[in-house]
Amino acid sequence: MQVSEVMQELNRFIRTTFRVADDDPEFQDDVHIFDYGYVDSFGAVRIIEFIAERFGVQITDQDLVTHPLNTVREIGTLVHSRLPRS
Amino acid sequence: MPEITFSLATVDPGYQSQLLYALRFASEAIENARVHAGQLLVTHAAGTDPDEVRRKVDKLVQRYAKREFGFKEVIHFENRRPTRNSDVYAELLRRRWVTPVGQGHMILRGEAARLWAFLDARFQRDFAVPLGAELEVYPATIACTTLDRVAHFTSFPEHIDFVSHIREDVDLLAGFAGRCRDQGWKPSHHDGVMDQVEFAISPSCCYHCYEGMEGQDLAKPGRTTTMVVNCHRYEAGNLTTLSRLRSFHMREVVWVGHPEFVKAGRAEADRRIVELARHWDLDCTYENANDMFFTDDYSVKASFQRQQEAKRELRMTIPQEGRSIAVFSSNFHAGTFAKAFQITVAGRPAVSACVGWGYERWVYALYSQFGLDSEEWPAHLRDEYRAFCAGSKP
Repeated sequence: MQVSEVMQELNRFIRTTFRVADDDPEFQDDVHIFDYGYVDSFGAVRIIEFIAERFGVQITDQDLVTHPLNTVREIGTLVHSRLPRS
Repeated sequence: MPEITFSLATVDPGYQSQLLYALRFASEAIENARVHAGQLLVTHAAGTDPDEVRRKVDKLVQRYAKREFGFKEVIHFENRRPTRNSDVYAELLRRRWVTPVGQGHMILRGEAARLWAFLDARFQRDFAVPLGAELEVYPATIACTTLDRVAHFTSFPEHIDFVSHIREDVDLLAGFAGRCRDQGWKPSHHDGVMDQVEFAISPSCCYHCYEGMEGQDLAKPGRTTTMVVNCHRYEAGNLTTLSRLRSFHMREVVWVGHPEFVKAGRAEADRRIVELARHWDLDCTYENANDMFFTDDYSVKASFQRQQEAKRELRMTIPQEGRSIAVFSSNFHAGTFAKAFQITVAGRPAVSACVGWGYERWVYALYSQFGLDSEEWPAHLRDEYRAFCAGSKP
């Protein structure tokens, strides 16, 4: 799976779950999803659960403290790096 | 007094002082609580059910043991300097600059009141005005329906001072007045005569601000407002000196608008508060923080707040109490409040942030660090205060 595919799925999940308008020009892969008000603390928990369920990747406490995980690109890149290699 | 011991092995040391604070609301039977050698020691009133106390304390310990987003600590600025270490509070009482008038209620007068006014003038001049904030004036009370909409009840149910009145009934009113005349006022005189609660005393400055913009589509980039509110928070057994009051005054500057505008405003206030702390040579830190949510999802909210640096505090050392207190906080709410009141900016959902100063805490912290004689204060602070007292602007 390519990193772009991971990001695409994350993008779709966030758009659907947090009702981002289809024509919102600011919702890009590099937008800060928390600062821009798309996702709150409980939303962040839902994203972590989605990642575990869909990709089998666990995001730990430590990851959240040490990695910047605020944009679709940042989250997608970390998830992709943890995917099992076939 | 009976004592119960709890293990704190699962609670991050950074959260333990917050757990101690929250314990005061866990049970009326709790007399005291302290941490010693990694254990929590709770004493409770004789004759109360220890199993019931244990159950309630356990519930809180579990709440603080979870860490969904880790415990992130960031100190953005730190300044250490020699400070005094004397019983400032006793001296303030002796001079009658401060007079308690009920649990957590204080009158400030004389020099203490003047210092309060100086601080307000200074924060207006160097924050509210240059940040372009419009003055707004708010009622002291707030509708419970408004607090419900901002989810205050689910985050801080323990703090709220509710307001009510005697029902419109000549017999009830005459009966209440008669009982007060004959026996003096007693809480029991209210039994059966009060109306339902509809209002509370504002627990925070800025809720009216969002309520006042309900349904508005703001012009880009957004609005900046400022206000001073006499806020109330019930604090159970946590009241101490002027460090933590039930009734206190706060000034806030609030931004509502586009994320870039709101973030830039908050960043500028952050920069200015550090500059001020350095200029006045305060013994302090400026660090990330979290609200003390009193709810089972404490961990999600608190650790996320810390992880995102949604809250930062200027904490001033109180030497004689061996701890620090927050005198300024900087808060980013993302879309929480704007969403609750359908506020948009140029058609997109708005976000908000605020910074706030707790004035009684500032007064107490300055006196604690530098003493009551302003001539002995750090030079910049002394000179500005002297100019203010002479009638010129600080």
